[in-house]
Amino acid sequence: MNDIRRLKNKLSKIGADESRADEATREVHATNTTGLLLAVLHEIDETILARELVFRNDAGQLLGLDVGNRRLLRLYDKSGDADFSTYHPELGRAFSQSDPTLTKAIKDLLQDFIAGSDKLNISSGKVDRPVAPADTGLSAQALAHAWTIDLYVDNDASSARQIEEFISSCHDITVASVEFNSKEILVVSGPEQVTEQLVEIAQDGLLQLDENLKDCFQDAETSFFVVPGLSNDADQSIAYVGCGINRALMMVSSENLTDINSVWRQLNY
Amino acid sequence: MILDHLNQLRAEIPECLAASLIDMSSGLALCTSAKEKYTQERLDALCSLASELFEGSAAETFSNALKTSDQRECIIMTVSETCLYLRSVVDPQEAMFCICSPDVDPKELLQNAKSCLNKISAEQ
Repeated sequence: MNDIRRLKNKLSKIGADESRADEATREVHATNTTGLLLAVLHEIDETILARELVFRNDAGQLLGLDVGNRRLLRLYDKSGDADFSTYHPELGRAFSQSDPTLTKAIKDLLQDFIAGSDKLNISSGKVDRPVAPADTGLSAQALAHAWTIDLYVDNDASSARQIEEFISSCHDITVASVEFNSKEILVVSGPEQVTEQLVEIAQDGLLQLDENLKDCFQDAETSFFVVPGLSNDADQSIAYVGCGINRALMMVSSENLTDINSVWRQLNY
Repeated sequence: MILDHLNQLRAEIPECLAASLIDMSSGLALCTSAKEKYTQERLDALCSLASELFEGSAAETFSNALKTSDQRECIIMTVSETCLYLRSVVDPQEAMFCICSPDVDPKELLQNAKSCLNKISAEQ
């Protein structure tokens, strides 16, 4: 019995065999680049036996990753895109040790590949390129550390927590607030008459505004804060806050707008 | 000259990286003063955002909720930038945006940008 079969049997016994390896194609979604980078890292982190993972972005471009022992062994272009290959010389090269230049180059390559996509299709197959024993690859954890991404954090939960933290920091100066995402209203707080208004705005959606913000500001996908009508005649103003996929609308007394701006800036600077 | 006023605003507010007078009906940045050159794509996107904030569905939504006739100012903050939008009182199709570093004082920016837009409007 060779080593691979022995290892497969062992994994099967402990219930950790890679049943996903036999699935056809899977799809992972994320609202931003970091979310998709995290998805790639999770794929690496969950692959124990050597596999070829092929990722397809929204533009139809294919990127292959040789992965094994929860480590990235090699990246290669599967689309025959000469420009992409020329621009990223690390394609096709086996990785033997981590260094800052290499981890940055890999991040840049993946970001280029992910740019403009909100999902990745993943298929898995056998590795058909030999890997030298000296090429130990790079672990998902090492890459995550180099890229300052928390491998085990739930980004969506984290962004919801950030919104909650902001709202609770502004509690004394907020008349009412509504927390929501694209699927549902999450938390409502304040007098019914005001929250009904905010819920209505949340349900009607501010999708066009979200799109415009994303087009204008590179980091609007991570977080943004919008106050329309800074010095309007009304006693109250609305603040619209976004963090990842989570959103909040807050009704604020106009005289407290400066304070609320400062709170957001303190939490996001 | 419009550019002189925009340059003066940037001199008054050192955190202001770019100030631009835009025409919302055509979606054009008419005159821009900037520390570094902005791509045409970004200027176009910033003009589209002005239309959405002052004339689009977001403007209508917020005006209805606040029971105000229209929106004339809007501040947007991201981690790396603070952006102020102002709409001209004289010509509702004209607006101005200022992109600043995050440490700008929004109150001072609003005051100086308003004064700058008023001077530009008065000259036209």
